[in-house]
Amino acid sequence: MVKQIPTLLKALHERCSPKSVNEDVDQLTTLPSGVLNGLLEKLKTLDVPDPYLVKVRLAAREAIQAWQTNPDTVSNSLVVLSRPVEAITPILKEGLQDYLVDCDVDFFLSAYRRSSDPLSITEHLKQELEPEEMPLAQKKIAPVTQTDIHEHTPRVVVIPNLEQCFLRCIQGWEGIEYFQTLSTQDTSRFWVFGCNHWAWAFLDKVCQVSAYLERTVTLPELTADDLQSWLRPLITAVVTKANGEGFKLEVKSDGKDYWDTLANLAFGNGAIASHLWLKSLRMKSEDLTAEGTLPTDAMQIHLVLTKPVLPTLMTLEPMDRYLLHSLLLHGKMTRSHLALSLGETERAIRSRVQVLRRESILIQKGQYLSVHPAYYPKLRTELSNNNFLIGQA
Amino acid sequence: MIVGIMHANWILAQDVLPNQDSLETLFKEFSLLAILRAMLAVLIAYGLLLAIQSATKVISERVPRRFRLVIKQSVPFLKALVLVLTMIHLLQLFVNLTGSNLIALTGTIAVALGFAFKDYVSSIIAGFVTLFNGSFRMGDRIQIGDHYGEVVHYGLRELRLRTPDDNLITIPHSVTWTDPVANANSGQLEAQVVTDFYFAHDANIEFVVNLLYQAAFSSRYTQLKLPIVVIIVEKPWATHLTLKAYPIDARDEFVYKTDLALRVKQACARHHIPYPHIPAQSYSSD
Repeated sequence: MVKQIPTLLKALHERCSPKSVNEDVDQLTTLPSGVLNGLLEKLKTLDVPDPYLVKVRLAAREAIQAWQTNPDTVSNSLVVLSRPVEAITPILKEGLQDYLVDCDVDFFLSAYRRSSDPLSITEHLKQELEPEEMPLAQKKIAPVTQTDIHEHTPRVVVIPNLEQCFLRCIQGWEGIEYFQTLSTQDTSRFWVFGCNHWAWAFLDKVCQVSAYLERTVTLPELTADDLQSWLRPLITAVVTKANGEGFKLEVKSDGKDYWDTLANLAFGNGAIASHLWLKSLRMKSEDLTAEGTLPTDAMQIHLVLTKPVLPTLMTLEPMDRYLLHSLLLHGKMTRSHLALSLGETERAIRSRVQVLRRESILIQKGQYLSVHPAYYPKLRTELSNNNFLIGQA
Repeated sequence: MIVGIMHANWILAQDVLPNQDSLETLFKEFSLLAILRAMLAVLIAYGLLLAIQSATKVISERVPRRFRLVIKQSVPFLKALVLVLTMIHLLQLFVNLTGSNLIALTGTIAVALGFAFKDYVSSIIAGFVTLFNGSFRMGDRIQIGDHYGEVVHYGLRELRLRTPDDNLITIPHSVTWTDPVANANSGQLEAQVVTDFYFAHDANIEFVVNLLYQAAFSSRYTQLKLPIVVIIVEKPWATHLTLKAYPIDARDEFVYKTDLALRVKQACARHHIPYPHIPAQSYSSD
């Protein structure tokens, strides 16, 4: 029994420490920034995971059919709910644009970002949605009947980013109330909204949005197999270097345990899983130069998967929590909107934004800030434990 | 009659108070080892009390809010446990704990303390009773008499409140037996915050009420899981609106009020909502 203790300890250590799934690894190192950026670019080109498309298409088809069958009593809207770090626009575009061939599908506000003056959001939405429409009061609303179905093509309006149509300030969610009114009055069109769970929970409290947009569907959790097949194109990707030359990446095959762990850590979410996958990639030190860069003549790079782990979250200050909660609620937002939603001046939040950016918890693209998907699982727990109103995991 | 009662008390005192013979068997022999062990026990108990106080203070301020009050509320119980165990150990060291000895000892202590340390003992007993009575706990925001603040210390004899002005008020536990205690959060993280607003009679009150609701909904401090209410009361010189809402942490009470007032005032300025013009006479009468 005593003799077995060192073996048990070694097994325990191997199980707990982030190690390669492959056994023939000597010394591993993190990826050079060039390779990492190349993979990040490749990530953006990945197709939407199939389970997302299947779920959205099925839900949309069922909802539209139910509405067409009984337009007077059945809701003419569908809300697709996702986690705050998941980009829902491509899911709705890929899911509905070419699928609903028997409907006129109009995408509105796909790349919409809330206007600099949040009080003018409603006016912006009206301009986007109503130039081709008569004013609501004068418009003759034709109810859809069984006869109409044979004569008219149903119109489907898709608004993929509901969270971009409000700001948490006085009169900041009038845009949502406008949508509530428009969709319930205009029963000649079917409305599909995309929204994140956190924004939905907030809007339900402040303007009872679920009473108007009653039919909702949540994106499914991806299984280990789903994630593996979704990320497969990256396992043998060709990445282009800054000088225009390309090199081939090859990620060594891995066991099912890896993908199970990844799916569990990421709550089955594609965006989170893809970033955790990236963070788990390592290279052999011998494949790099002494300076830690890629050899100039490298044509093929072998990458190794190590056990996926969630990134460590720094100790957050009270202001950090408010700031991150606001960002998860609103999705991408500018610094001035962030300050406005917190009831602070830009100057008051600047230093904390800087700290969170330095810790990679926040990402800044152009003037828009957002939360890094890999930090979402820990942030959700942190905010939940601190009594914040949060959405689904 | 009076003589009869005095005689009965004298007999009772004779029964309770130990005589010379019983004292010999009541106490164990005082040895150097026993004294050293007693000193060590007192030192360990003192160290433990200090450790509990400082460790729970540090830990409770670092953990997420949800666990803060749980940790704080455990402090009096942990301290009481240490004190009781130390007392038992000391008694075992110096006293022969038989049934008759215990009666004699407690009787003696009761008579002695009843005269000499009545208030002190009353406070200690009140502290123990309040511990299990649950009218307030560590971390609660309470009002006793004119003093309002967060309970930051729960000692053997007294509790301490930290007021909004960052003063520490020490109140004996016995006061909580006689004075009413108003508890704002009763062990919960949230406590209702009441914010008053005054507007001119010609203001569009329906619009203003909506603004007040939106101010509460949009404040980062608001706990949206709990109800928000606006109450209107007509005064001769203004319309008085009371906004009642809960912050997600009762500690944010005053910054929350400030945030609400700021949001409402900004919105009112934007929409030119009139405030009441109070005659100078009204100022002086208020």
